[in-house]
Amino acid sequence: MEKIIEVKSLMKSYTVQRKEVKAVKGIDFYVEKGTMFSFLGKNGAGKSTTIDILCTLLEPDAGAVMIDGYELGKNDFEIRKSIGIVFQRSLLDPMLTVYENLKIRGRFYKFSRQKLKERIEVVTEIAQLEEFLHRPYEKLSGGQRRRADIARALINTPKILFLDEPTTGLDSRARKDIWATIRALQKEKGVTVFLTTHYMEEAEQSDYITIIGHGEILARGTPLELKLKYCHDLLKLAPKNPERFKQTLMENQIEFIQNGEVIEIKLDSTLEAIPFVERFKDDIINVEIINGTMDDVFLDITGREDT
Amino acid sequence: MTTLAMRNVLIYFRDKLGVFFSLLSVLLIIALFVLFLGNAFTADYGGNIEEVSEVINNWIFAGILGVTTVTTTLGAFVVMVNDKVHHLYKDFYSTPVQRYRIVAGYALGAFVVGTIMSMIIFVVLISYNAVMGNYVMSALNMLITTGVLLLSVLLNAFMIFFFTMFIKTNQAFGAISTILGTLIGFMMGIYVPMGDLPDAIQTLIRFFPQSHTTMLFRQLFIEGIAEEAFLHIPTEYLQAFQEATGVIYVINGYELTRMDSVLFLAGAAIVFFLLSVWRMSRRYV
Repeated sequence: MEKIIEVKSLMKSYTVQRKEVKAVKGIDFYVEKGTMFSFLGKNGAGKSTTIDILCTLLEPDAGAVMIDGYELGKNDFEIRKSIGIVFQRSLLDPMLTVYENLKIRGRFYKFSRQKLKERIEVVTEIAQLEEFLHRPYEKLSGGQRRRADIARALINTPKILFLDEPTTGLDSRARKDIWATIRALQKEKGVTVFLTTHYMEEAEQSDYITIIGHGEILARGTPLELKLKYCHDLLKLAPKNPERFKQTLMENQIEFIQNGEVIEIKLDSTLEAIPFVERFKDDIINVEIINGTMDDVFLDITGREDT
Repeated sequence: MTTLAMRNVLIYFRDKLGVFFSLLSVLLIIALFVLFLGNAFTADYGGNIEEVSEVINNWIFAGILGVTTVTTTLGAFVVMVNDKVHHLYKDFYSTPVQRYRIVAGYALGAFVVGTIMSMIIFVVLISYNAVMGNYVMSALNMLITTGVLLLSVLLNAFMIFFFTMFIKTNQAFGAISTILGTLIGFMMGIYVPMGDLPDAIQTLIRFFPQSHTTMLFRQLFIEGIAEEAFLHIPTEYLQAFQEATGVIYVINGYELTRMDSVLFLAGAAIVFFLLSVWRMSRRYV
Protein backbone atom coordinates (compact mmCIF):
# COMPACT_ATOMS: atom_id res chain seq x y z
CA MET A 1 0.00 0.00 0.00
CA GLU A 2 1.09 3.49 -0.81
CA LYS A 3 1.55 5.92 2.06
CA ILE A 4 -0.14 9.21 1.16
CA ILE A 5 0.68 10.87 4.48
CA GLU A 6 3.79 10.06 6.44
CA VAL A 7 4.64 11.82 9.69
CA LYS A 8 7.91 11.39 11.55
CA SER A 9 8.83 12.75 15.00
CA LEU A 10 6.43 15.65 14.72
CA MET A 11 6.73 18.20 17.50
CA LYS A 12 4.98 21.45 18.31
CA SER A 13 4.96 23.64 21.40
CA TYR A 14 3.10 26.82 22.18
CA THR A 15 3.79 29.52 24.65
CA VAL A 16 0.69 30.18 26.68
CA GLN A 17 1.04 32.91 29.28
CA ARG A 18 4.83 32.55 29.23
CA LYS A 19 4.58 28.82 29.88
CA GLU A 20 5.63 26.33 27.29
CA VAL A 21 2.90 23.87 26.42
CA LYS A 22 3.93 20.85 24.41
CA ALA A 23 0.93 20.20 22.19
CA VAL A 24 2.50 17.45 20.10
CA LYS A 25 5.42 15.49 21.52
CA GLY A 26 7.18 13.75 18.66
CA ILE A 27 4.56 11.54 17.04
CA ASP A 28 4.95 9.14 14.12
CA PHE A 29 2.22 7.73 11.93
CA TYR A 30 1.25 7.19 8.34
CA VAL A 31 -1.95 7.02 6.34
CA GLU A 32 -2.45 4.64 3.46
CA LYS A 33 -3.87 5.93 0.24
CA GLY A 34 -7.61 5.56 -0.22
CA THR A 35 -8.32 4.64 3.38
CA MET A 36 -10.31 6.29 6.09
CA PHE A 37 -8.04 7.24 8.97
CA SER A 38 -9.37 8.34 12.34
CA PHE A 39 -7.44 10.46 14.72
CA LEU A 40 -9.08 10.01 18.04
CA GLY A 41 -8.56 11.91 21.25
CA LYS A 42 -10.12 14.05 23.91
CA ASN A 43 -10.27 17.81 23.59
CA GLY A 44 -6.81 19.26 23.95
CA ALA A 45 -5.09 16.01 23.02
CA GLY A 46 -3.25 17.60 20.08
CA LYS A 47 -5.63 16.63 17.26
CA SER A 48 -6.29 20.10 15.90
CA THR A 49 -2.65 21.11 16.20
CA THR A 50 -1.63 18.07 14.16
CA ILE A 51 -4.29 18.74 11.54
CA ASP A 52 -3.26 22.40 11.28
CA ILE A 53 0.34 21.32 10.70
CA LEU A 54 -0.61 18.77 8.04
CA CYS A 55 -2.74 21.42 6.30
CA THR A 56 0.26 23.79 6.09
CA LEU A 57 -1.41 26.27 8.45
CA LEU A 58 1.01 25.83 11.30
CA GLU A 59 4.75 25.31 11.21
CA PRO A 60 6.02 22.36 13.25
CA ASP A 61 8.98 22.79 15.61
CA ALA A 62 10.54 19.53 14.48
CA GLY A 63 9.80 16.47 12.41
CA ALA A 64 9.24 15.53 8.80
CA VAL A 65 5.94 15.28 6.99
CA MET A 66 5.34 13.97 3.47
CA ILE A 67 1.93 14.51 1.92
CA ASP A 68 1.06 13.07 -1.48
CA GLY A 69 4.78 12.87 -2.26
CA TYR A 70 5.52 16.48 -1.32
CA GLU A 71 7.58 17.60 1.62
CA LEU A 72 5.80 19.84 4.10
CA GLY A 73 7.61 23.16 4.46
CA LYS A 74 9.13 22.94 1.00
CA ASN A 75 6.26 22.21 -1.36
CA ASP A 76 3.38 23.66 0.60
CA PHE A 77 1.74 24.97 -2.56
CA GLU A 78 1.57 21.51 -4.09
CA ILE A 79 0.23 20.12 -0.83
CA ARG A 80 -2.46 22.80 -0.70
CA LYS A 81 -3.56 21.79 -4.17
CA SER A 82 -4.04 18.17 -3.12
CA ILE A 83 -5.89 18.68 0.14
CA GLY A 84 -9.35 19.79 1.17
CA ILE A 85 -10.23 20.76 4.72
CA VAL A 86 -13.46 20.77 6.67
CA PHE A 87 -12.62 22.89 9.66
CA GLN A 88 -14.03 22.26 13.08
CA ARG A 89 -15.59 25.70 13.13
CA SER A 90 -17.02 26.58 9.78
CA LEU A 91 -15.11 29.24 7.88
CA LEU A 92 -17.56 30.20 5.16
CA ASP A 93 -19.05 33.68 4.93
CA PRO A 94 -22.39 33.75 6.74
CA MET A 95 -23.95 36.55 4.73
CA LEU A 96 -23.13 35.10 1.33
CA THR A 97 -25.07 32.30 -0.31
CA VAL A 98 -23.62 28.81 -0.56
CA TYR A 99 -23.10 29.33 -4.27
CA GLU A 100 -21.25 32.62 -3.76
CA ASN A 101 -19.10 31.01 -1.12
CA LEU A 102 -18.17 28.12 -3.39
CA LYS A 103 -17.45 30.45 -6.29
CA ILE A 104 -15.21 32.74 -4.26
CA ARG A 105 -13.30 29.93 -2.55
CA GLY A 106 -12.99 28.11 -5.86
CA ARG A 107 -11.35 31.13 -7.46
CA PHE A 108 -8.40 30.77 -5.12
CA TYR A 109 -7.47 27.62 -7.04
CA LYS A 110 -7.19 29.53 -10.32
CA PHE A 111 -9.56 27.42 -12.38
CA SER A 112 -10.86 28.68 -15.68
CA ARG A 113 -14.38 30.08 -15.55
CA GLN A 114 -15.75 26.97 -17.24
CA LYS A 115 -13.85 24.57 -14.98
CA LEU A 116 -14.99 26.40 -11.85
CA LYS A 117 -18.60 26.13 -13.00
CA GLU A 118 -18.14 22.42 -13.53
CA ARG A 119 -16.53 21.95 -10.14
CA ILE A 120 -19.38 23.78 -8.40
CA GLU A 121 -21.88 21.52 -10.18
CA VAL A 122 -19.97 18.41 -9.17
CA VAL A 123 -19.61 19.31 -5.50
CA THR A 124 -23.21 20.50 -5.34
CA GLU A 125 -24.27 17.03 -6.37
CA ILE A 126 -21.87 15.16 -4.10
CA ALA A 127 -22.89 17.13 -1.02
CA GLN A 128 -26.55 17.45 -2.14
CA LEU A 129 -26.77 21.21 -1.94
CA GLU A 130 -29.35 21.88 -4.70
CA GLU A 131 -32.11 22.65 -2.22
CA PHE A 132 -30.27 25.50 -0.49
CA LEU A 133 -27.55 26.46 -2.96
CA HIS A 134 -28.79 30.03 -3.25
CA ARG A 135 -29.63 30.58 0.37
CA PRO A 136 -27.31 32.60 2.66
CA TYR A 137 -25.05 30.33 4.66
CA GLU A 138 -26.20 31.81 7.99
CA LYS A 139 -29.79 30.73 7.28
CA LEU A 140 -28.89 27.03 6.97
CA SER A 141 -29.34 24.29 9.54
CA GLY A 142 -26.31 22.70 11.17
CA GLY A 143 -26.40 19.69 8.86
CA GLN A 144 -26.81 21.83 5.73
CA ARG A 145 -23.87 23.98 6.79
CA ARG A 146 -21.69 20.96 7.23
CA ARG A 147 -22.64 19.76 3.75
CA ALA A 148 -21.72 23.16 2.35
CA ASP A 149 -18.41 22.96 4.22
CA ILE A 150 -17.70 19.58 2.67
CA ALA A 151 -18.57 20.91 -0.78
CA ARG A 152 -16.14 23.77 -0.20
CA ALA A 153 -13.41 21.30 0.81
CA LEU A 154 -14.01 19.28 -2.36
CA ILE A 155 -13.95 22.21 -4.77
CA ASN A 156 -10.32 21.58 -5.81
CA THR A 157 -10.77 17.79 -6.27
CA PRO A 158 -8.51 16.96 -3.33
CA LYS A 159 -6.80 13.60 -2.97
CA ILE A 160 -6.93 13.92 0.79
CA LEU A 161 -9.89 15.24 2.72
CA PHE A 162 -9.23 16.45 6.26
CA LEU A 163 -12.22 16.67 8.54
CA ASP A 164 -11.79 18.14 12.00
CA GLU A 165 -14.66 16.81 14.10
CA PRO A 166 -17.12 16.91 11.22
CA THR A 167 -20.16 15.78 13.18
CA THR A 168 -19.74 17.66 16.45
CA GLY A 169 -22.91 19.50 17.34
CA LEU A 170 -25.12 17.80 14.77
CA ASP A 171 -28.27 15.81 15.46
CA SER A 172 -28.16 12.09 14.82
CA ARG A 173 -29.97 12.32 11.48
CA ALA A 174 -27.59 14.96 10.11
CA ARG A 175 -24.66 13.00 11.49
CA LYS A 176 -25.75 9.94 9.54
CA ASP A 177 -26.11 11.98 6.35
CA ILE A 178 -22.66 13.45 6.72
CA TRP A 179 -21.20 10.04 7.35
CA ALA A 180 -22.85 8.58 4.30
CA THR A 181 -21.36 11.39 2.19
CA ILE A 182 -17.87 10.92 3.63
CA ARG A 183 -17.98 7.15 3.17
CA ALA A 184 -19.18 7.47 -0.40
CA LEU A 185 -16.30 9.81 -1.15
CA GLN A 186 -13.81 7.34 0.19
CA LYS A 187 -15.31 4.21 -1.36
CA GLU A 188 -16.44 5.59 -4.70
CA LYS A 189 -14.05 8.43 -5.45
CA GLY A 190 -11.02 6.96 -3.73
CA VAL A 191 -10.45 10.03 -1.60
CA THR A 192 -8.22 9.46 1.41
CA VAL A 193 -10.12 10.62 4.47
CA PHE A 194 -8.31 11.89 7.56
CA LEU A 195 -10.70 12.72 10.32
CA THR A 196 -10.50 13.66 13.93
CA THR A 197 -13.29 12.85 16.29
CA HIS A 198 -14.00 12.18 19.88
CA TYR A 199 -16.82 9.79 19.09
CA MET A 200 -15.53 6.25 19.27
CA GLU A 201 -18.55 4.86 17.44
CA GLU A 202 -17.56 6.98 14.45
CA ALA A 203 -13.92 6.04 14.55
CA GLU A 204 -15.01 2.42 14.61
CA GLN A 205 -16.22 2.77 11.03
CA SER A 206 -12.82 3.79 9.71
CA ASP A 207 -10.03 1.57 8.43
CA TYR A 208 -7.39 2.61 10.88
CA ILE A 209 -7.47 4.39 14.22
CA THR A 210 -4.76 6.29 15.99
CA ILE A 211 -5.54 7.38 19.51
CA ILE A 212 -3.73 10.44 20.78
CA GLY A 213 -3.60 11.92 24.26
CA HIS A 214 -1.54 14.76 25.70
CA GLY A 215 0.43 15.01 22.48
CA GLU A 216 1.46 11.38 22.36
CA ILE A 217 0.18 8.37 20.51
CA LEU A 218 -1.47 6.04 22.99
CA ALA A 219 -2.67 3.26 20.73
CA ARG A 220 -3.11 2.43 17.08
CA GLY A 221 -4.57 -0.28 14.90
CA THR A 222 -7.62 -1.30 12.95
CA PRO A 223 -10.85 -1.14 14.93
CA LEU A 224 -10.77 -4.93 15.28
CA GLU A 225 -7.17 -4.98 16.47
CA LEU A 226 -7.90 -2.36 19.09
CA LYS A 227 -10.96 -4.22 20.20
CA LEU A 228 -9.06 -7.46 20.57
CA LYS A 229 -6.25 -5.79 22.40
CA TYR A 230 -8.09 -3.41 24.70
CA CYS A 231 -11.60 -4.74 24.93
CA HIS A 232 -12.72 -6.97 27.75
CA ASP A 233 -15.98 -8.77 27.98
CA LEU A 234 -17.61 -8.83 31.34
CA LEU A 235 -19.23 -11.83 32.94
CA LYS A 236 -21.84 -10.87 35.49
CA LEU A 237 -22.94 -13.51 37.93
CA ALA A 238 -25.57 -13.58 40.63
CA PRO A 239 -24.46 -16.26 43.10
CA LYS A 240 -26.81 -18.20 45.39
CA ASN A 241 -24.59 -17.61 48.35
CA PRO A 242 -22.32 -14.63 47.74
CA GLU A 243 -19.99 -15.22 50.67
CA ARG A 244 -19.33 -18.84 49.86
CA PHE A 245 -18.98 -18.07 46.15
CA LYS A 246 -16.41 -15.38 46.82
CA GLN A 247 -14.51 -17.82 48.96
CA THR A 248 -14.49 -20.36 46.11
CA LEU A 249 -13.29 -17.76 43.60
CA MET A 250 -10.46 -16.69 45.89
CA GLU A 251 -9.42 -20.27 46.45
CA ASN A 252 -9.25 -20.72 42.68
CA GLN A 253 -7.33 -17.43 42.31
CA ILE A 254 -9.89 -15.87 40.02
CA GLU A 255 -9.99 -12.05 40.02
CA PHE A 256 -13.39 -10.46 40.46
CA ILE A 257 -15.17 -7.28 41.42
CA GLN A 258 -18.15 -7.30 43.72
CA ASN A 259 -20.88 -4.94 42.69
CA GLY A 260 -23.67 -5.27 45.25
CA GLU A 261 -25.16 -8.73 44.82
CA VAL A 262 -23.39 -9.18 41.52
CA ILE A 263 -19.92 -10.59 40.96
CA GLU A 264 -18.14 -9.27 37.85
CA ILE A 265 -15.32 -11.12 36.15
CA LYS A 266 -13.23 -9.75 33.27
CA LEU A 267 -12.91 -12.07 30.30
CA ASP A 268 -10.47 -11.88 27.40
CA SER A 269 -13.05 -13.41 25.10
CA THR A 270 -16.73 -14.18 25.28
CA LEU A 271 -16.16 -17.90 24.86
CA GLU A 272 -14.21 -18.15 28.10
CA ALA A 273 -17.51 -17.75 29.85
CA ILE A 274 -18.79 -21.17 28.79
CA PRO A 275 -16.46 -23.47 30.78
CA PHE A 276 -16.65 -21.05 33.67
CA VAL A 277 -20.41 -21.10 33.86
CA GLU A 278 -20.37 -24.88 33.34
CA ARG A 279 -18.03 -25.27 36.32
CA PHE A 280 -20.01 -23.11 38.73
CA LYS A 281 -23.52 -23.67 37.40
CA ASP A 282 -24.74 -25.08 40.71
CA ASP A 283 -23.77 -21.95 42.63
CA ILE A 284 -25.31 -19.28 40.46
CA ILE A 285 -28.82 -17.98 39.80
CA ASN A 286 -28.29 -15.67 36.88
CA VAL A 287 -25.64 -15.07 34.21
CA GLU A 288 -25.06 -12.09 31.95
CA ILE A 289 -22.24 -11.51 29.47
CA ILE A 290 -21.52 -7.90 28.44
CA ASN A 291 -19.62 -7.40 25.21
CA GLY A 292 -16.94 -4.74 25.38
CA THR A 293 -17.61 -1.70 23.13
CA MET A 294 -15.24 0.67 21.37
CA ASP A 295 -16.27 3.31 23.87
CA ASP A 296 -14.74 1.15 26.58
CA VAL A 297 -11.57 0.93 24.51
CA PHE A 298 -11.41 4.69 24.22
CA LEU A 299 -12.14 5.30 27.88
CA ASP A 300 -9.73 2.56 28.86
CA ILE A 301 -6.90 4.05 26.81
CA THR A 302 -7.44 7.76 27.30
CA GLY A 303 -8.76 7.40 30.84
CA ARG A 304 -5.56 5.88 32.07
CA GLU A 305 -3.36 8.87 31.44
CA ASP A 306 -5.46 11.14 33.59
CA THR A 307 -4.88 9.15 36.73
CA MET B 1 -5.83 39.40 -4.41
CA THR B 2 -8.70 40.56 -6.59
CA THR B 3 -10.77 37.54 -5.55
CA LEU B 4 -10.52 38.40 -1.89
CA ALA B 5 -11.03 42.10 -2.61
CA MET B 6 -14.22 41.29 -4.53
CA ARG B 7 -15.41 39.09 -1.71
CA ASN B 8 -14.76 41.84 0.83
CA VAL B 9 -16.65 44.40 -1.22
CA LEU B 10 -19.53 41.94 -1.63
CA ILE B 11 -19.66 41.25 2.11
CA TYR B 12 -19.47 44.95 2.96
CA PHE B 13 -22.39 45.87 0.72
CA ARG B 14 -24.40 42.75 1.66
CA ASP B 15 -24.84 44.27 5.11
CA LYS B 16 -27.32 46.81 3.76
CA LEU B 17 -28.27 48.21 7.12
CA GLY B 18 -24.62 48.80 7.98
CA VAL B 19 -24.05 50.62 4.68
CA PHE B 20 -27.20 52.65 5.18
CA PHE B 21 -26.19 53.79 8.64
CA SER B 22 -22.65 54.69 7.69
CA LEU B 23 -24.05 56.86 4.88
CA LEU B 24 -26.71 58.24 7.17
CA SER B 25 -24.17 59.34 9.75
CA VAL B 26 -22.40 61.43 7.11
CA LEU B 27 -25.69 62.80 5.77
CA LEU B 28 -26.71 63.77 9.30
CA ILE B 29 -23.53 65.78 9.72
CA ILE B 30 -24.22 67.50 6.40
CA ALA B 31 -27.78 68.29 7.48
CA LEU B 32 -26.62 69.65 10.84
CA PHE B 33 -24.07 71.89 9.19
CA VAL B 34 -26.44 73.15 6.53
CA LEU B 35 -29.26 73.80 8.98
CA PHE B 36 -27.45 75.20 12.00
CA LEU B 37 -23.70 75.47 12.09
CA GLY B 38 -23.37 77.09 8.67
CA ASN B 39 -25.43 80.04 9.85
CA ALA B 40 -23.29 80.42 12.93
CA PHE B 41 -20.15 80.54 10.80
CA THR B 42 -21.72 82.97 8.37
CA ALA B 43 -22.66 85.30 11.19
CA ASP B 44 -19.06 85.15 12.44
CA TYR B 45 -17.44 85.85 9.15
CA GLY B 46 -19.23 88.18 6.92
CA GLY B 47 -22.70 89.29 7.80
CA ASN B 48 -25.51 88.22 5.55
CA ILE B 49 -24.01 88.32 2.12
CA GLU B 50 -25.42 85.41 0.14
CA GLU B 51 -22.15 84.56 -1.59
CA VAL B 52 -20.33 84.34 1.72
CA SER B 53 -22.93 81.91 2.99
CA GLU B 54 -22.42 79.78 -0.11
CA VAL B 55 -18.67 79.83 0.30
CA ILE B 56 -19.02 78.68 3.87
CA ASN B 57 -21.43 75.89 2.95
CA ASN B 58 -18.99 74.63 0.35
CA TRP B 59 -16.11 75.02 2.75
CA ILE B 60 -17.98 72.74 5.14
CA PHE B 61 -18.85 70.29 2.35
CA ALA B 62 -15.18 69.98 1.46
CA GLY B 63 -14.33 69.13 5.05
CA ILE B 64 -17.10 66.55 5.29
CA LEU B 65 -16.00 64.89 2.05
CA GLY B 66 -12.43 64.78 3.34
CA VAL B 67 -13.49 63.09 6.58
CA THR B 68 -15.72 60.70 4.63
CA THR B 69 -12.76 59.36 2.65
CA VAL B 70 -11.22 58.32 5.97
CA THR B 71 -14.23 57.00 7.86
CA THR B 72 -15.69 54.94 5.01
CA THR B 73 -12.33 53.35 4.20
CA LEU B 74 -11.88 52.59 7.88
CA GLY B 75 -15.32 51.00 7.98
CA ALA B 76 -14.36 48.62 5.19
CA PHE B 77 -11.62 47.09 7.34
CA VAL B 78 -14.27 45.55 9.59
CA VAL B 79 -14.15 42.57 7.22
CA MET B 80 -10.43 42.10 7.81
CA VAL B 81 -10.76 42.25 11.58
CA ASN B 82 -13.72 39.87 11.55
CA ASP B 83 -11.81 37.37 9.44
CA LYS B 84 -8.97 37.53 11.92
CA VAL B 85 -11.23 37.18 14.97
CA HIS B 86 -13.17 34.24 13.50
CA HIS B 87 -10.07 32.65 11.95
CA LEU B 88 -11.63 32.81 8.50
CA TYR B 89 -8.21 33.53 7.05
CA LYS B 90 -7.32 29.88 7.71
CA ASP B 91 -9.50 28.84 4.81
CA PHE B 92 -7.73 31.30 2.48
CA TYR B 93 -4.32 30.27 3.74
CA SER B 94 -5.07 26.65 2.94
CA THR B 95 -5.28 27.52 -0.75
CA PRO B 96 -2.34 27.73 -3.16
CA VAL B 97 -2.18 31.54 -3.12
CA GLN B 98 0.69 33.49 -1.56
CA ARG B 99 -0.35 34.89 1.79
CA TYR B 100 0.79 38.43 1.10
CA ARG B 101 -1.52 38.45 -1.91
CA ILE B 102 -4.43 37.38 0.23
CA VAL B 103 -3.68 40.03 2.84
CA ALA B 104 -3.22 42.70 0.19
CA GLY B 105 -6.76 41.88 -0.97
CA TYR B 106 -8.05 43.57 2.19
CA ALA B 107 -6.36 46.85 1.26
CA LEU B 108 -7.70 46.66 -2.28
CA GLY B 109 -11.21 45.82 -1.05
CA ALA B 110 -11.15 48.76 1.37
CA PHE B 111 -9.97 51.03 -1.43
CA VAL B 112 -12.93 50.01 -3.58
CA VAL B 113 -15.44 50.40 -0.72
CA GLY B 114 -13.96 53.75 0.36
CA THR B 115 -14.09 55.03 -3.22
CA ILE B 116 -17.70 53.98 -3.79
CA MET B 117 -18.93 55.39 -0.49
CA SER B 118 -17.00 58.66 -0.83
CA MET B 119 -18.23 59.09 -4.40
CA ILE B 120 -21.82 58.66 -3.20
CA ILE B 121 -21.31 61.47 -0.67
CA PHE B 122 -19.61 63.62 -3.33
CA VAL B 123 -22.60 63.15 -5.64
CA VAL B 124 -24.99 64.01 -2.78
CA LEU B 125 -23.10 67.24 -2.06
CA ILE B 126 -23.01 68.31 -5.70
CA SER B 127 -26.69 67.42 -6.09
CA TYR B 128 -27.56 69.53 -3.04
CA ASN B 129 -25.88 72.55 -4.62
CA ALA B 130 -27.61 71.89 -7.94
CA VAL B 131 -31.06 71.43 -6.37
CA MET B 132 -30.71 74.52 -4.16
CA GLY B 133 -29.69 76.58 -7.17
CA ASN B 134 -26.25 77.21 -5.70
CA TYR B 135 -23.05 77.40 -7.66
CA VAL B 136 -22.03 73.98 -8.96
CA MET B 137 -18.32 73.37 -9.50
CA SER B 138 -17.04 73.09 -13.04
CA ALA B 139 -16.79 69.71 -14.76
CA LEU B 140 -13.02 70.00 -14.70
CA ASN B 141 -13.02 70.59 -10.96
CA MET B 142 -15.30 67.59 -10.46
CA LEU B 143 -12.75 65.51 -12.32
CA ILE B 144 -9.88 66.88 -10.24
CA THR B 145 -11.89 66.35 -7.04
CA THR B 146 -12.46 62.73 -8.06
CA GLY B 147 -8.73 62.37 -8.64
CA VAL B 148 -7.89 63.79 -5.22
CA LEU B 149 -10.58 61.59 -3.70
CA LEU B 150 -9.03 58.47 -5.26
CA LEU B 151 -5.57 59.43 -4.06
CA SER B 152 -6.88 60.16 -0.59
CA VAL B 153 -8.76 56.86 -0.31
CA LEU B 154 -5.63 55.08 -1.52
CA LEU B 155 -3.55 56.71 1.21
CA ASN B 156 -6.22 55.90 3.81
CA ALA B 157 -6.44 52.29 2.65
CA PHE B 158 -2.68 51.78 3.01
CA MET B 159 -2.46 53.65 6.29
CA ILE B 160 -5.40 51.95 7.99
CA PHE B 161 -4.34 48.60 6.52
CA PHE B 162 -0.94 48.99 8.11
CA PHE B 163 -2.39 49.68 11.55
CA THR B 164 -5.14 47.05 11.22
CA MET B 165 -2.49 44.37 10.77
CA PHE B 166 -1.58 44.89 14.43
CA ILE B 167 -5.17 44.59 15.63
CA LYS B 168 -6.41 41.25 16.87
CA THR B 169 -9.84 41.86 18.36
CA ASN B 170 -13.12 43.54 17.44
CA GLN B 171 -12.96 45.57 20.63
CA ALA B 172 -9.58 47.02 19.75
CA PHE B 173 -10.80 47.88 16.26
CA GLY B 174 -13.96 49.45 17.68
CA ALA B 175 -11.92 51.55 20.09
CA ILE B 176 -9.58 52.72 17.35
CA SER B 177 -12.51 53.51 15.05
CA THR B 178 -14.09 55.67 17.73
CA ILE B 179 -10.86 57.50 18.50
CA LEU B 180 -10.04 58.03 14.84
CA GLY B 181 -13.62 59.06 14.03
CA THR B 182 -13.46 61.69 16.73
CA LEU B 183 -9.96 62.93 16.07
CA ILE B 184 -10.08 62.91 12.30
CA GLY B 185 -12.49 65.84 11.99
CA PHE B 186 -10.20 67.79 14.24
CA MET B 187 -6.99 66.69 12.47
CA MET B 188 -8.52 67.76 9.18
CA GLY B 189 -9.56 71.06 10.66
CA ILE B 190 -13.24 70.78 9.80
CA TYR B 191 -14.96 71.53 13.10
CA VAL B 192 -13.17 74.75 13.84
CA PRO B 193 -11.37 77.02 11.37
CA MET B 194 -7.64 76.41 11.76
CA GLY B 195 -6.92 80.02 12.59
CA ASP B 196 -8.75 79.61 15.91
CA LEU B 197 -6.33 76.91 17.04
CA PRO B 198 -2.92 77.34 18.71
CA ASP B 199 0.05 77.61 16.33
CA ALA B 200 1.55 74.27 17.38
CA ILE B 201 -1.70 72.45 16.58
CA GLN B 202 -1.96 74.26 13.26
CA THR B 203 1.51 73.06 12.30
CA LEU B 204 0.60 69.54 13.39
CA ILE B 205 -2.48 69.61 11.17
CA ARG B 206 -0.48 70.87 8.18
CA PHE B 207 1.87 67.90 8.51
CA PHE B 208 -0.99 65.41 8.79
CA PRO B 209 -1.22 64.09 5.22
CA GLN B 210 -5.00 63.61 5.15
CA SER B 211 -5.58 67.28 6.02
CA HIS B 212 -4.25 68.13 2.57
CA THR B 213 -7.21 66.26 1.11
CA THR B 214 -9.56 68.67 2.86
CA MET B 215 -7.46 71.65 1.81
CA LEU B 216 -7.54 70.61 -1.84
CA PHE B 217 -11.28 69.88 -1.65
CA ARG B 218 -11.86 73.36 -0.18
CA GLN B 219 -10.02 75.05 -3.03
CA LEU B 220 -11.97 72.98 -5.55
CA PHE B 221 -15.33 73.50 -3.88
CA ILE B 222 -15.14 77.26 -3.46
CA GLU B 223 -13.33 78.12 -6.66
CA GLY B 224 -15.67 80.18 -8.79
CA ILE B 225 -17.70 81.62 -5.93
CA ALA B 226 -14.96 82.90 -3.68
CA GLU B 227 -13.88 85.53 -6.23
CA GLU B 228 -17.32 87.07 -6.19
CA ALA B 229 -17.87 86.77 -2.49
CA PHE B 230 -14.58 88.39 -1.61
CA LEU B 231 -14.54 90.90 -4.43
CA HIS B 232 -14.24 93.91 -2.16
CA ILE B 233 -11.79 92.46 0.27
CA PRO B 234 -8.12 93.54 0.05
CA THR B 235 -5.73 90.81 -1.22
CA GLU B 236 -3.55 90.59 1.88
CA TYR B 237 -6.61 90.29 4.06
CA LEU B 238 -7.99 87.59 1.77
CA GLN B 239 -4.77 85.56 2.03
CA ALA B 240 -4.89 85.78 5.82
CA PHE B 241 -8.51 84.69 5.72
CA GLN B 242 -7.77 81.74 3.42
CA GLU B 243 -4.90 80.71 5.63
CA ALA B 244 -7.02 80.90 8.77
CA THR B 245 -9.75 78.77 7.19
CA GLY B 246 -7.29 76.21 5.86
CA VAL B 247 -7.99 76.89 2.20
CA ILE B 248 -4.29 77.46 1.66
CA TYR B 249 -1.35 76.24 3.69
CA VAL B 250 1.58 78.57 4.26
CA ILE B 251 4.68 76.96 5.73
CA ASN B 252 7.57 79.30 6.64
CA GLY B 253 6.21 81.95 4.30
CA TYR B 254 5.86 79.52 1.38
CA GLU B 255 2.34 78.96 0.05
CA LEU B 256 1.88 75.33 -0.96
CA THR B 257 0.68 74.74 -4.50
CA ARG B 258 -1.91 72.13 -5.36
CA MET B 259 0.81 69.97 -6.86
CA ASP B 260 2.77 70.16 -3.58
CA SER B 261 -0.20 68.79 -1.68
CA VAL B 262 -0.89 66.09 -4.27
CA LEU B 263 2.74 65.01 -4.08
CA PHE B 264 2.57 65.03 -0.29
CA LEU B 265 -0.52 62.76 -0.38
CA ALA B 266 1.12 60.47 -2.91
CA GLY B 267 4.34 60.39 -0.89
CA ALA B 268 2.46 59.49 2.29
CA ALA B 269 0.60 56.77 0.36
CA ILE B 270 3.92 55.32 -0.82
CA VAL B 271 5.36 55.43 2.71
CA PHE B 272 2.42 53.49 4.14
CA PHE B 273 2.46 51.12 1.18
CA LEU B 274 6.11 50.32 1.92
CA LEU B 275 5.43 50.00 5.65
CA SER B 276 2.62 47.58 4.86
CA VAL B 277 4.85 45.55 2.54
CA TRP B 278 7.49 45.44 5.24
CA ARG B 279 4.97 44.29 7.82
CA MET B 280 3.51 41.68 5.46
CA SER B 281 6.94 40.31 4.59
CA ARG B 282 7.58 39.72 8.28
CA ARG B 283 4.29 38.05 9.07
CA TYR B 284 2.60 36.75 5.93
CA VAL B 285 5.10 34.81 3.85
